[in-house]
Amino acid sequence: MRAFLLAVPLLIFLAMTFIVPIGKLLIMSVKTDEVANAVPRAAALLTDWSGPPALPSRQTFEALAADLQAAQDGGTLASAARRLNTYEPGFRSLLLKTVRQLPIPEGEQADEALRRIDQRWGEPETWRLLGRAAHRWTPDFLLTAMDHRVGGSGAIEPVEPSQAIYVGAFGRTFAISASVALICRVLGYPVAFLLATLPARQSNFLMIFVIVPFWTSLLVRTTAWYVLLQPNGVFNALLIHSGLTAAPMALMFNRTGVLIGMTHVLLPFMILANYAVMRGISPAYQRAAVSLGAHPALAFLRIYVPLTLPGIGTGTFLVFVLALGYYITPALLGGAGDEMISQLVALQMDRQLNWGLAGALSVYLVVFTLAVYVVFNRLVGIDRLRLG
Amino acid sequence: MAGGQASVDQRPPASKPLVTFSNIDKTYDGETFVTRNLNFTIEEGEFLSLLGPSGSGKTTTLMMLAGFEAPSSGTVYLGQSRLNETPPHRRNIGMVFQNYALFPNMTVAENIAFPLSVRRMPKPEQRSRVERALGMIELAHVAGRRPAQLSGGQQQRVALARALVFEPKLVLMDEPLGALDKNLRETMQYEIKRIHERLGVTVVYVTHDQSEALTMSDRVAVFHHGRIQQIATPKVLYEDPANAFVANFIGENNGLPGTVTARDARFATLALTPELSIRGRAGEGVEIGTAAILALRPENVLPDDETGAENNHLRGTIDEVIYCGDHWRLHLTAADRAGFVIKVPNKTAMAPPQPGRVATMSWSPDDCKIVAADGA
Repeated sequence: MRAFLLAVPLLIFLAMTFIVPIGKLLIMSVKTDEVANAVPRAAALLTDWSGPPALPSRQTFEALAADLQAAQDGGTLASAARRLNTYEPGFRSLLLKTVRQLPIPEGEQADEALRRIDQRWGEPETWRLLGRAAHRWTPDFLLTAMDHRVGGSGAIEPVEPSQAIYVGAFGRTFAISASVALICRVLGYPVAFLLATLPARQSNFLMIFVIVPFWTSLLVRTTAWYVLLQPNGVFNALLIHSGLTAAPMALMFNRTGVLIGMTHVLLPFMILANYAVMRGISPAYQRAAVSLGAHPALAFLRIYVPLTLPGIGTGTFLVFVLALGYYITPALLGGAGDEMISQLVALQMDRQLNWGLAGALSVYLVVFTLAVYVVFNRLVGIDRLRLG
Repeated sequence: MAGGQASVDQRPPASKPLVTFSNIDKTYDGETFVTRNLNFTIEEGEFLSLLGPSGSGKTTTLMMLAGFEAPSSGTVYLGQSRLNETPPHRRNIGMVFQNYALFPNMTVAENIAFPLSVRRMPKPEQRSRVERALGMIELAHVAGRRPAQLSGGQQQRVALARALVFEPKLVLMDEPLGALDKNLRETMQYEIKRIHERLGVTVVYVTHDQSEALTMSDRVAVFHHGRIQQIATPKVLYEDPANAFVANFIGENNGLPGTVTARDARFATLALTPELSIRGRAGEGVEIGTAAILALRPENVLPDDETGAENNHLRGTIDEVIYCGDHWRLHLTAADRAGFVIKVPNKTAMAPPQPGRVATMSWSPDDCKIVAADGA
């Protein structure tokens, strides 16, 4: 009980700054009120509509006309129009055009008036989309994030290839994260071994070179690579000067730049995770194996490496999971074909203002990360996770 | 088997050195020596203990034999061939480590099979050898377990089996029982001794526990400051220490200091004070006028005995009396020094010694020794 009370301030802080906003964003991936709030009466009537090929009842047309006018006065029209535009480009202008020509003149029926204003009101498909958007709960964002949608027949179908970008982006995110984890493993393992086996003085000295970048801001390090890797930057200058290449190599705005930058940023995690495990391995094991007749190389492979597997697993897990959410480094060093999922989330958040899709993409990222976590916990055990 | 012959001789057996250390120095900085001028042999089939306080060079000596440390100068021979340059994995010497060093990622059976598998022994033979080794240590039922699931004593026995399974001629043990509690340690001492006698393997055993060294070994090498102070059978070591360090390090000793005033072929006279002299067997390097100390075991002293003109007599005041069951332990002040210890065998009907009383102690010159004071 006392322990709980001591943690209460932190829990409150976490709840306000972390759990509530994240929860809200995740809820946004399935909840959408804009249209339902803007056209409440039409939305209610549309739930009773049998759907295409018939058109909705005349009352529905009347309700929509009234709702649209009320929405414009109430200020809820803009967000509803934006929301509808994500279903069908042009929906926004349709609504604005319609509302400009309201109210309906005396003596004209609402359905005829709307069809006169824009013939799209005569198409059942328009009404179907409006009906879908008017639901308060929707699977649409989650489907879009997997490049699928609910088609005209109500069945789930893939979107056109030209709009299918998210599955590819998830695949790319995984591929980049896995590559970075692999490169970090290859580069980090020998360094960790060196740190763990050198005498304390040299080891502590070398550790500075691991820790200082670790403490340095991510943005600073990424910007530094930006400067180094430019076509006329330090790296290319050296390469050309030494005669290794004649023209500048493309080291950034492509996958190479992303991998170099992310590997550098994440390498300390791999080194520290392996170092923590290696330092706990008594040199007596190696000696015992050698005294029993194993060549030192064989002793290393058969005794030492298996004992470091928890470190390898931990390091790979950490680097992979951290890489999954990377944003700044691929944004600065990557090219058009290197967008990771976090960049797309950010794009939806602050450019497209489609928070629902941003939430849906985040949901998948969280689910995938948790899946990786579960696999790691099975294989290695989360209690082995420690640094330094 | 070297130890199984019907010989009535004391060990060591007829000289057949398996290992020879010749003028071995070990230094890391060229100034301080970890070991200095080591010259000794290890006989085949022998159980030799390297005994000494920590930092005395005993473990370094073992590591040089195993190949994990290289001598700075001098030669180690195995049989007739020079061993210095042979890498440790080709020396074919079994080794048992202080914390067992069982491979935690392998089962007990895999651990024991490890030296066989790196020697590319056929699998069926590996299996039968592992089975035999497990039988020897009576742990066949834990073959499939991981080392972490075993008790300390079981782990120790597995480590022993692993070091013996490839039938090395020589097995090194680096304080193998240091991590065990007292009762288990005694059981394991007996077990190691039994295996040694059964297999006839040569054992070099590092320990800082003198009773372990005395009870297990054929011979004991006492290390101090990187030098061997004495290498001898336990009986000689205890009863005939070569110098003050050995006398004080092995067992209990009444090491009263004094000056040598006389010596002949066998005996020397040690003046504790101008009025008080002790006669005892003369040790090496004991010359008239030099400082020396008395080597006298507490159990060799009789209290309240004034007979025998040739015996040594010393008057002391009893400060403390400790009842130890089979004996009384008396602390006295004698020759103006506190801390003189004697052991009096206990008999049920005996009147207990009283503190504060003056006792006249006596012992024969043959039961004590005058040894050179500087042991280093």
